[in-house]
Amino acid sequence: MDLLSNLSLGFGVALTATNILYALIGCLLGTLIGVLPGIGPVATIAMLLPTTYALPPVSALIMLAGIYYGAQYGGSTTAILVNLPGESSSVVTALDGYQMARKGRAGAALGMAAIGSFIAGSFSTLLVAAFAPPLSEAALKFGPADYFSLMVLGLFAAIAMAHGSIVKAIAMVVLGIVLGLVGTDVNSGVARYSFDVPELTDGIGFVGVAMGIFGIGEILTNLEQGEDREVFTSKVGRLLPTVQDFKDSWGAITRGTLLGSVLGILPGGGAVLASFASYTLEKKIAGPKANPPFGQGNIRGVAAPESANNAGAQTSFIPLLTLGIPPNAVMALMVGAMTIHNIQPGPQVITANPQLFWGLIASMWVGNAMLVILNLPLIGMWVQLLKIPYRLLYPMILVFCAIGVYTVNNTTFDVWIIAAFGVIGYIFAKLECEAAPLLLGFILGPMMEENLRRAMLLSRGDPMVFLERPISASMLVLAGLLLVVLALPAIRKKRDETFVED
Amino acid sequence: MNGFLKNKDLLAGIMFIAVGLIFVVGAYNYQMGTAARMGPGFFPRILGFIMAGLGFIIAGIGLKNQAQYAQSEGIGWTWKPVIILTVAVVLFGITLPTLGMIIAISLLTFISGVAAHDKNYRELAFITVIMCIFCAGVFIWGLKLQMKLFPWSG
Repeated sequence: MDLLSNLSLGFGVALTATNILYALIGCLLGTLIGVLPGIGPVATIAMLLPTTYALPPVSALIMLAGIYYGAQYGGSTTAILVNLPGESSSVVTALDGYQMARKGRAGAALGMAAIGSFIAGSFSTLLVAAFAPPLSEAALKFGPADYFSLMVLGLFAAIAMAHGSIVKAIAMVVLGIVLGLVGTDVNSGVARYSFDVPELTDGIGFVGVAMGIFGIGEILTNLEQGEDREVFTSKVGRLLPTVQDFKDSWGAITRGTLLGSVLGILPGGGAVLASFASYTLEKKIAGPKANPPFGQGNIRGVAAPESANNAGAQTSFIPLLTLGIPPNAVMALMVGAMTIHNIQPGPQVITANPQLFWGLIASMWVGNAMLVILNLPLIGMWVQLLKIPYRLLYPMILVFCAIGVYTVNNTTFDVWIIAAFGVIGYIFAKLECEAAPLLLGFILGPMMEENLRRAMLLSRGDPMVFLERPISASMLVLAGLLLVVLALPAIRKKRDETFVED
Repeated sequence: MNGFLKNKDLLAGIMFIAVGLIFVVGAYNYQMGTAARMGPGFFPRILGFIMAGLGFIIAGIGLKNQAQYAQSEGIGWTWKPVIILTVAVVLFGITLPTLGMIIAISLLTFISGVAAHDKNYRELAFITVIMCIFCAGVFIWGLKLQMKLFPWSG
């Protein structure tokens, strides 16, 4: 069977001693940074990106994937122990997880989160392996018009997932796109919006923007809120969940895994949508008879979203690996990382670079296994880390951001970029303009322009091409439907309620 | 006038209008081209117009809710940490290639640490030393990145 031979090729790459080591280091570093309150996966990956520069591409991607899983698991740990979700995908984990911690069952919550994540990760890795090859083949049929429309759909989905005002989210996407256009235009060689600054002719560094907004901007927002956290350090309790816990959770894990896998593939979806949806689903299924009630420490409320967000994290690699289109901000960073290593993500990777492709997929599973092995014994260490007061933590984070961004190109200009985008990120936060859609627009912007130009060139300037091609037309119809649905008052109200929970 | 400054939507709207128009005006420096052969100015100009348009809608929503905003406590900008952190990061950028990593990190850690409302200078000095040792160990000796360590190193 093809799948088996492909997987064995992958495991052959992923299970070499060096690559296991990099996966281990990635998971360790990712958890280390991700566990710090107020730092989500985007900031973690951006900060740790420089540590992978010196590696060969396969190892670098394996390590980055490890960092991602680690960051996500670290976020859940913080959510459970301190009720401070570092990222939106662990917001719902905090609801029941923190209550369990208050009842002295932090260990069981952490253990179940790890086990659920592992089961979900194993399943969705298989899913990625099974679906990526046929999808890559289908992707080869995509013309420029189809790509353009797909990206439009992705951006609209990102808008749907943003908090607060829809109009602001759209404006942020557009802002992201135009910022992405700064620099030399590939078609004409004209340096756009570079204001005669030589560094700007290469465009604004993506890592700098991400670190500025999600690293420094976050710190500025946190600094003004002051500190209010209570760490349950003394009584984490036994880590292995009881037999009863398993009986309670297996259904939740199964449903979370399936739901998460599906939602992860959708553009704009990924881990966040998956965890919210699966929590809501569990709450519905359990009904009012749930004991203890949801929100008061029900283990299913931890198991389901944790499985779902891990499954979603995994399957969100599918659009990236097959189409070269990142479905969310984390995957946008992965594109950045791949480009640094001279890999152009897209359907050609699987044939041009099968070692890398299957190695990465196999390493997803290795990374998940690593998390369980690593985190259960190391919980004590993460708890110690959570005790570091924020007043000491943020200068350290700043140092890592600043050195990290400097090493991207060895230029101080990138340091100015994070300083500037730190302030910009703070202003966005104060004006309630969410930054995640901006980041996605920033990455997709140049690709969109390129595909728009090509499509219009092929159609000799006839914009109808976007509606005449069936793939493109259906993408645009979906995007349109999404916008209409979002604008409906009933849905808007529901959406607002969902996001009020954090 | 003060009431308008409390209006998040109005301010956000004005921001998008301003940035959108900057991109529109800037796009006139680049060729528009035709629909079939788009020049470098085409896409940014369209997007600039869209952004400015969205800005007007956002500002309009803000104006509609002005009465509520006027009653609110305001946005509550705290510029002090923003200024301190920005100065610290900029100083880091200036000193890293010239005076080396140790001085750059010390300045960044110490200056930025001052922005905390519960700062403790002793702790801060301690953390500064730790960070210098750690970063030198990881980035220079571990990852072998090309960076100056001291002002006198080559």
